[in-house]
Amino acid sequence: MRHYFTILAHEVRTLLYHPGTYIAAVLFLLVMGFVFTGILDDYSRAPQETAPAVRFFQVFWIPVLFMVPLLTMKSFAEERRLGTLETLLTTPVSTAEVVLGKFSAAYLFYLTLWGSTLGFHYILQLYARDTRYLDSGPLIGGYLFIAVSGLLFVAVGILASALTRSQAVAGILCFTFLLGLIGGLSYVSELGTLRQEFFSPVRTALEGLRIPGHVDDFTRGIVDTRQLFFYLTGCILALIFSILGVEAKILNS
Amino acid sequence: MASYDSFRAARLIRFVNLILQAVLFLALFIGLNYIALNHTWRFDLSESRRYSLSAETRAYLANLERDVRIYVTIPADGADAELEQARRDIMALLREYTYHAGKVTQHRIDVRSLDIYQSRRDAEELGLDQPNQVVLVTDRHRHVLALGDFYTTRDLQIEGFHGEAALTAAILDVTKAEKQKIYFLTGHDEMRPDDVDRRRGLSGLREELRQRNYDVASLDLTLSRQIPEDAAMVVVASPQKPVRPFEEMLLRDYLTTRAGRLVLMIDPGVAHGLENLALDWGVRIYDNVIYDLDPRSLTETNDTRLWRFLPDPESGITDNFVNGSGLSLIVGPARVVSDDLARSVDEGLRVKKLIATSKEAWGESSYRLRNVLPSYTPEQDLKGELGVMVISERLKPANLPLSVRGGRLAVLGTADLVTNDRINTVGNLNLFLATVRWAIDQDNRLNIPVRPIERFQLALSADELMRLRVGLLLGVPGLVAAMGLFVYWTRRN
Repeated sequence: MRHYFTILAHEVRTLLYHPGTYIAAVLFLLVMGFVFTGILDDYSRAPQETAPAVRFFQVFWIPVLFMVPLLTMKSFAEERRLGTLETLLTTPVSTAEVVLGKFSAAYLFYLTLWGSTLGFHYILQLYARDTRYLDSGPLIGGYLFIAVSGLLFVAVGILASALTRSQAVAGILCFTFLLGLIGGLSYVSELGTLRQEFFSPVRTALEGLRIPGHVDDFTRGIVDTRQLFFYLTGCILALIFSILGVEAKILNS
Repeated sequence: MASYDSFRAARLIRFVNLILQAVLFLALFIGLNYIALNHTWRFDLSESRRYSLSAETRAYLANLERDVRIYVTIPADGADAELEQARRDIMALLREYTYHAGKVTQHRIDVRSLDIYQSRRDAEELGLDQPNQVVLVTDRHRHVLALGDFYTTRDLQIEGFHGEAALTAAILDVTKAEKQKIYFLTGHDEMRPDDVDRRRGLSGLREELRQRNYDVASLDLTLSRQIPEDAAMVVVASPQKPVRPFEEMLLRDYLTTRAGRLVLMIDPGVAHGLENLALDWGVRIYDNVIYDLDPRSLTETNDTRLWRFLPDPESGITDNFVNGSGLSLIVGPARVVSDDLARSVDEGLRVKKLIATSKEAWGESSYRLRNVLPSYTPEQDLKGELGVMVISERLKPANLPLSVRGGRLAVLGTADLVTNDRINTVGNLNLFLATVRWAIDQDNRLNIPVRPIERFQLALSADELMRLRVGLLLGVPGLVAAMGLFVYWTRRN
């Protein structure tokens, strides 16, 4: 795995030095800042039953649907378009190391972006002078959800990028996959056809995989091994498919 | 060169190999997740494990006798924040039930969300016709919980979430082999549960009771000559003729020797023949009609509004009415019932007034006189905070270590609150159901604490709020932008 760390270090360095990274981060924080101030407007108008952190994590899908495609679409599509991927793979580096290296760099950036939103809660607590706004329960649970679910979301982005040489197509593919994961599973689990007794196990499985339900659990401080397992195995599956996708494309070229 | 030895064939074989690998990994993913769904652990990291089920509920779930299917008809409506919050609270709680039932019993708790407007056909098949309910169904019984059953309120605000107590009680109820049977006395022109009349019918009440898994039946003592063994409770709703002495004796016997549960709802202006029975239980039923001139006690249609409720945590009947919940009863004419102050000291009897009129009210005893305007006559009429509902129960002697079931009697000075016309009033239905629950001992089995609901509100001035907004929008993004500029400047140099 020596090459994995080399690739990871290279990817991280590229991200750190690239001005686009900071522009993306500032835009992300501005959007999330707007969302957070919108939530706080409700709290200044009338008392609410949940901590602002809980409401904040419930809109997790906004950055996921828009940031993850932007973050990952370049990883393989761009390399393939420029023809540098083939060159890279002629070196003694395995496809798995390349995929893992790119995935880890994107995931670290994803975590850093979300991690910087901790500042919002700190600023809120400073102004509100109420320690409940820094309540560890929803914050730990919420960020744990972001960290765990981020594994799957970023891996899906990497997979989308590995399937095509066009960045735009990779971005749209990733958006579609993520929309299917976040909204589609909920929609399918509520289909009338699945109400029949025969489909009961399928419906139970789909209901257990509803991502909005996972957010509710995590922000309450409930950690369910089924959910952890789903994100972890989903991430591994998406990465394996990415490796197979890259290999298939090389084979065809 | 053989065709299988060509580059093309090799590429095809590798491609098929890749596809097969993909299918195998997908199958592995599905298989592993399916196994994980059935072998799961949930950890509650919250302070004092506040979202975990209580030991009592877990013990009941371990002895679950049949499968329970739970339908939640609260629509996922993002526009209504309170409804959305309620849906989240209830669904999160139900996930705990499903998880624990899967761990400790062979029987399943299956939770389904159903929008009755979008899935109208399914809803009709299941007999679900109202939104914002949680309906528990087994192969034998069903039980309906409204949103109000999940929350306690104070000053029109939600104060606590007692969904676990409500759900556990409902699960116990629907999984029981037999339904609790409530008998309505007949034979004296009482209000009848099969009567659909607007003013004197109780068909609406019967439906509400059936939805809550009670069986409703009529009881004519002149025919049966005894109160059935399966009677969980007997209701006497507005008799228009006096109850015969032998019937009174049967009711008295049922209360004392069989620890029976009796609810008397006696309208004013009729002879009912149950004065002595009530008096033996420390309750006095007066022959008068209440007039209450307090503007808060009258509705626009000149009905009586009862709004003074006395707290009684032991019975819990008025829990939903005290603490400024805003709930009240709307009834027609009523008579005074009160605890008998002249009764001899009896420590084994607990008598408690639960509903009273305002201080402006009086009990008009000359109401039978024609062409006389009702007015308070000192030393003839009662005046002040007059009782409209009193409960009485036999307690176990203090020196007895065993828990002995005692009889329970509830007396209301009006039967008007449960007629088809009135039962849809939230307060009326709530009070009657709470009385039934107390009489049948339903809530006393559970000792599950209420989860308090915290409230968050930003108490900032407009200036502070503006600075907070600016801080959020410029603070953190500004810091990142500064870092980017620093890296850019360093790289350029």
